[in-house]
Amino acid sequence: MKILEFARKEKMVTNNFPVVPYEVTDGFRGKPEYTYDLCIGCGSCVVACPSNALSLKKDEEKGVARWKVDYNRCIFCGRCDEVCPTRAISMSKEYVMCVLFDKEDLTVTGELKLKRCDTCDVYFTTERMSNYTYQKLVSAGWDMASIDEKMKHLNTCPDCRQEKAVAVNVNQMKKRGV
Amino acid sequence: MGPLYTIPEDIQRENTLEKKLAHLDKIKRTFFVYRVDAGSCNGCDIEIFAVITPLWDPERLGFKLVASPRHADILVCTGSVTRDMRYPLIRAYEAMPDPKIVAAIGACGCSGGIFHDAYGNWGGIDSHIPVDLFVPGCPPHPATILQGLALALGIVDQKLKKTVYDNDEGKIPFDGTSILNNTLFERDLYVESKSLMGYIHGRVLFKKYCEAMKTAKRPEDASEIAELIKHLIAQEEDPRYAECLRVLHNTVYMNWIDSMMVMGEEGKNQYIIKGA
Repeated sequence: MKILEFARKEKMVTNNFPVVPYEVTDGFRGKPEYTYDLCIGCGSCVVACPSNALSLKKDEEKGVARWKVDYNRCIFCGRCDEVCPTRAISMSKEYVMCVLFDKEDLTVTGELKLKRCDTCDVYFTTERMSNYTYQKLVSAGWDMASIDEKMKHLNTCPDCRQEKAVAVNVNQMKKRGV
Repeated sequence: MGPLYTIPEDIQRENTLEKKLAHLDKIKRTFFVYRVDAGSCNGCDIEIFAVITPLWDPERLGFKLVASPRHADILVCTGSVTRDMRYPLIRAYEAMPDPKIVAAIGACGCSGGIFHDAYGNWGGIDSHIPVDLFVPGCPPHPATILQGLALALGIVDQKLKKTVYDNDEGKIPFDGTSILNNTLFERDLYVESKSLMGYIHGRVLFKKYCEAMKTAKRPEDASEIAELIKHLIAQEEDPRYAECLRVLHNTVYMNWIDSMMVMGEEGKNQYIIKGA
């Protein structure tokens, strides 16, 4: 009976949860929300993810890079949010994310078009990433006089760029007679 | 290598989706929940105990924790399956009366989680026994667990669906606008505010500084910006933001202005904001 008296005095503490949504506090790390329009496919979130919940894979046949998040494996640490340069992935307050039967319902995939290298015709980066790099360099006070020469360099894959640099160096050395 | 465990035929026959749904329809009593820890770090178990406290009270929805799998309708499994806990998990599964409903709680239960490539880990719950309900989170919030149990009962609807975006138009989320006509200034400001206050508060700090600068008529005018930031610091309620705004102004902004129009040490000292 003592408990009943106590219970009458106190207010009811139980959340009326499935009927009324539960309000989480500020800074709650819920589901990392993916905004496709902001993503440039740089892959820094994939590198930062400690549990490999994020993946970025090249699909040569379709010519797209496939960015995928698997909330099954996500540990909600927020590292992807920290490193994302465009805030395409950011922690939300969403906690309602249970699914029945199919694990694939907990995945989000974004397909980003790939770009070919000018020299060797191999896919090496996404189109958005290339445009983003160009726009960043222009807005950071790039010398627009020699733009064509520089664009050639920007549209070459890292392997070709390496070969090119080695060839230039070797030529210079030959001239000097080393 | 074949599958680690094949479900006996009689269990398979009794556990079809139709039979489970029929069971849900005709059941007129409390759902008994049995919990198995298949090698978790105890985080998810603590959250399950949080769920059965009066704050969440799953018994008003009709869930009751029981001590034996022989009584259970729902098997709640936590943790990635370790070698030693695999057999007890399968025994608990086989001991349940048909039809069996299995819920995997936490990132580890759903897919192996952060331990997915560890040597002692044999994958998530679903690589051993068929799982009906996935509750992600590391650990899941009590509300998530309760919502999952309610979802298994059909009280609430499933929110998430598999999403694929494939209409790439090559547009980029960056227009190259800058306050000082050079985005390297924004970059320096952002890097410094992140290193001062971390990524969550650093973003707020960066936003505060930028918005104050945008109200200025001439952002290159150090005296105007110094007045604006002084005003902002005086208004700021949080002393951490006030101090960091001061540091940002004295280091990043003054260095940029100094490199744009050489002011010298004395000229710089005029516009430096001194701390309290």
